[in-house]
Amino acid sequence: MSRTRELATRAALALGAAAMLMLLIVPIAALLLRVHPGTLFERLLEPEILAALRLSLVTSVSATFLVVATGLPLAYLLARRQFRGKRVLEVLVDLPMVLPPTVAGFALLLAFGRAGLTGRALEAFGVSLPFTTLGVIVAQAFMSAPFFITSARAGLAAVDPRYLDAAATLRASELDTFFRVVLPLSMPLLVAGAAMSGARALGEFGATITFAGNLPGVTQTMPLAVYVALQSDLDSAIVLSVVLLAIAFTLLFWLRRTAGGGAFVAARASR
Amino acid sequence: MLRARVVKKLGEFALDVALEARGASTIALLGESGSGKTTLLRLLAGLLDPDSGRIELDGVVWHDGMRRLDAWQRPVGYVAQDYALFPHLTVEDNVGFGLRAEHRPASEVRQRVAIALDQLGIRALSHRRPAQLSGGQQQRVALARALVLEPRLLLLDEPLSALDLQTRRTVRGELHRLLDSLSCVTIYVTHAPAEAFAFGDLVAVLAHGHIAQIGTPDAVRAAPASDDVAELLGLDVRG
Repeated sequence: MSRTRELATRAALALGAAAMLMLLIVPIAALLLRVHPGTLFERLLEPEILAALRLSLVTSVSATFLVVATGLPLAYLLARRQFRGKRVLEVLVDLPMVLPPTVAGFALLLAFGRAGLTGRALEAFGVSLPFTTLGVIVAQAFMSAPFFITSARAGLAAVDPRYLDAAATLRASELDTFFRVVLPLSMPLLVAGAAMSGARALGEFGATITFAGNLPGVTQTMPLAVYVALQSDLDSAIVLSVVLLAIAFTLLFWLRRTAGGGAFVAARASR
Repeated sequence: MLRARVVKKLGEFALDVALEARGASTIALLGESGSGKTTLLRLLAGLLDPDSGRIELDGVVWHDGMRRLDAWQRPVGYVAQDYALFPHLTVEDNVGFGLRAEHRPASEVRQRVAIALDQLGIRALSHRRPAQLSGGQQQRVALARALVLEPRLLLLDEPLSALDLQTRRTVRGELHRLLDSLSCVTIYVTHAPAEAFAFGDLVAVLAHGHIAQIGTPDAVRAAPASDDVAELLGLDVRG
């Protein structure tokens, strides 16, 4: 009886897992099966595709820098300080992860558009965001920030307080301690968060098209170019999709391989 | 000269301690776990704020109702029970950490670190990381890291407890010679009476957050203030 039950459990597990794997793998396989290696490189060098690729790389790398530079202080506050309204702030930080991207783009327009909340003030400084490359960067940063902040916050919070105490009794101010102890010890999770954030920025579509439009060479990133190509030039759509897929896969694979780098942070758990 | 009176309440536990020590002396603070030894060290180091009291060293007020120096502003050397060496830094960089935080010139850092490493006999370990060191070696690195800053108050939290018996015997003699050579006040926390008597110029017995007795090792051993103190000292209380 128990043998039968064990077999049934195994079968159910295998079936469930296989169904999910099918769902994940079949679309990717379908995409890859449509690619002809010869045409892949040929199409890749076409000016429109190169322009979209270049724009995507420039904007997603810029967005990631923006997210790291401004997200790190916020992640530090959330990880190391107790203050009123912290819960609300945490929810606000996570919000873009679950917000429909078109809603995010619309909100960005209302905030930074010409007739928006801060549009006039920005224009007075000669800054215009909607339908510009800078707007793409802002939209990508908005959508990808939670990925970095969540990971960075976990990394910063996991640094063993013993090391902070030791630094304090060794004449190190909080700023010194941050740069010489906290930052190096939480580096694996900071890098992982930045990589996830970069990958999310690279794949951003909805907020970008709503806030920055779809202007080739200016705001038309790779996901937008895929969307346009789908309606007219299927081969281009396939090439762009495969490139996006390859970048995303490489990033995630690299993250998995370097996940062991979190040893210092994990050391806390062994106390 | 150290003058401290600190009061701190942590949940149900209340610490109320007054201490006084002259330069170049060691107070051995003896107590069972939970008696408040580490809390007292953390209060003196500035890692914890007292509810009330006053801490003063060589005429400089570190804490009172009006003034408070942060931990990093106090000339303290603190060796934690588990040493807390920075795992991402080599021995050399661990020892030089405080000097760099004080923004000393690189040449001075190199020179003083080299002297400290020689003093503790760990020059050969300079480029190793803490994970590659034995318990005894880690303890020496932690001591070098604290002493290289020439602290006016040295706080040692159970410095031998993380070592195995054999290493403890070797290190004990070395530590004794080292402490004798220092010109600062040292507070040596331990739960072992033998260590307290061996290291302390004065032995302070801490029980339930209060100093139950303080005196020279001979005086405390000869006349324990209570049966509890005698028991803590490992003395026979029946007679």
